[in-house]
Amino acid sequence: MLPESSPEEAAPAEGAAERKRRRWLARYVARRLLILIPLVFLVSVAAFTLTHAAPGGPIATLLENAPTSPEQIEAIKEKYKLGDPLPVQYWDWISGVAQGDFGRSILTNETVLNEIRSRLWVTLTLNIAGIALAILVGVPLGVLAALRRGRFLDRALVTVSVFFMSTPVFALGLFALYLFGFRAGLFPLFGPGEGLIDRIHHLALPAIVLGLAGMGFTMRLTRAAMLEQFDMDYVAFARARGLGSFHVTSRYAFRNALIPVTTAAGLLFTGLLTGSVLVETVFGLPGLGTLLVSAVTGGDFTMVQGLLLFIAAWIILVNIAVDVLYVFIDPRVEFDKARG
Amino acid sequence: MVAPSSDATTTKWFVRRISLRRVPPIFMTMSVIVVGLIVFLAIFGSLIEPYDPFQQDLLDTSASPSPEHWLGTDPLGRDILSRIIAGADSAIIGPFIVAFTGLLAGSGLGILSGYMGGTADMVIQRLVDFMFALPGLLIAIVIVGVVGGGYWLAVLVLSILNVAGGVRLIRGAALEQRVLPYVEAARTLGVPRWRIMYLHIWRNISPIVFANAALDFALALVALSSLSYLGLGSQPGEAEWGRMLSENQSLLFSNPAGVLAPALAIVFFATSVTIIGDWIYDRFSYGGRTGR
Repeated sequence: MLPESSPEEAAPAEGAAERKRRRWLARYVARRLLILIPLVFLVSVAAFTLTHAAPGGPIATLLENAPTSPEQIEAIKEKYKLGDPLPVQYWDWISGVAQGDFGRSILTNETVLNEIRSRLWVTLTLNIAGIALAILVGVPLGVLAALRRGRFLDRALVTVSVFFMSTPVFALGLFALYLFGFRAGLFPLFGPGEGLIDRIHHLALPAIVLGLAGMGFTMRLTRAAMLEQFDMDYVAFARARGLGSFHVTSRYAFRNALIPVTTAAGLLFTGLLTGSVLVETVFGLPGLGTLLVSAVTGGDFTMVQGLLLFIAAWIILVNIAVDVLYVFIDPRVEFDKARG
Repeated sequence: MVAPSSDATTTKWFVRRISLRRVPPIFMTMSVIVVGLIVFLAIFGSLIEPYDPFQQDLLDTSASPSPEHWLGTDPLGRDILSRIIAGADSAIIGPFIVAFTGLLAGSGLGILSGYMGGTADMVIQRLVDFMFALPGLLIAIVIVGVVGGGYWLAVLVLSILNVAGGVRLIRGAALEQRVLPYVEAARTLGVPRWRIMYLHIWRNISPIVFANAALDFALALVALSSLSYLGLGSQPGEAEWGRMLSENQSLLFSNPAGVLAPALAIVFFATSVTIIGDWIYDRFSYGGRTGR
């Protein structure tokens, strides 16, 4: 992919190493992407088994509000091919999925893919904004706390992060909704809004809430990682040599502290995805989270299956991206070490 | 899935993560009071509830706070204060089971894995790596929702998903202990392996174990109430703080105290338990006493 198409390099010696590294990286990414297939397969089996093994099963869902007659049950079984043996049903579903047909929602009769597509932007916006906030605010504050270790500012920041980490995100959302939406009247109270500006206005508060929840985590993690680096001999040595505090912090300690922080980034991403289920519910937003909850509680099994596949792929891809990022941040990760 | 990193580093940031380091005494006192109060309410709550927490009064729904109903009534006319008091026990029992399972499995498997090494270690670690990468609450939402189980299913699912973190942390701590002289000495004296693992090493890492259990408790409380907020786990009508929040959310603008009080109960309880866990670690761990 990447390496073969980039032959022009300035310094020949460095160029060779660089090319080798790129080739390795491309292979690494390809290998990780290949793992995606068996993992998604496993998730699909798990999702299918769960939805079909649940008490009552699909038939109970479909007949929830209708008077039951044997003919109706037969008709439903016919329509959704529920009479077939489970492996055959699974095959029907998964071969459809392979061709991009995830089936239709039982509740709305809309195709699963269309439902996901129409709601994706809400969840995506919330997550991207939330992650940006969690990292851009949380990491600097963590560094700041570490620099002021044991002082008042450190204590205050740690207390804030403990608060955000042990506060359920829906409680945080309700507080924010009351204070900033209702009392201060700064934000709308419900729904996703219309048009670009209005939408940004509607999503701002939920995104901030989600970001704050993640910020507690990144701040504490960064602080711990920085403190660990400050205790290292190389930092003491750099200081002894008379290097400036800013230089030691930013060039030495921070770069190394980024390694454990990056390792935990995968956890942050999945955490925020889970958090957005709650935040969307609090603010009444039509995103993937509320879709999942309504599908799960409504017994919409095709939707649950499709969403689970989608979410699993999302999480796995994010984790792969984090691992690749890791290679860039830590140049020591080398050819044989990162085979995981 | 998990990027490569040395075990020592992982353990250290974990330990640091759960450690506040020198908890200010006021916070500690407040935390003990909060936890004590909630335990008291869980045990004796039924004696001091001003009203029956399940008694509906359809003539007095969504009432604002008044001398009769200090926090008002919910949309079905039930006294909110009484329901908060009645919710104390489900806020303790479920998280306690999750934390205790984590403590047992985490100690058992973690020390085994760290001390024995070899195949057992490898198998346990692969399993833990896998489970650790799973989005726990998301899976709980799906399983509990699809199966339609109640509170206890939620507790069971969370208990299982929670084990991985503890195993990983305790394994790291056991690895650090393994090479210390006292273990060497015990081994030379012919102390049986299980005794070294579960008496000697466990004693020495128990501050980490308990601090982690406290953290697990707080996280489980948050997770369980999140599930009930979504209408999963606890059943409709049950007095459970998370469920109260969703049932009363429509009152947010007319009776904010009534809606936000259960939220505050969750926040205070979870924060207090976390702080107490940090304090245990600070006070009793070998690293804590050197006062770094």
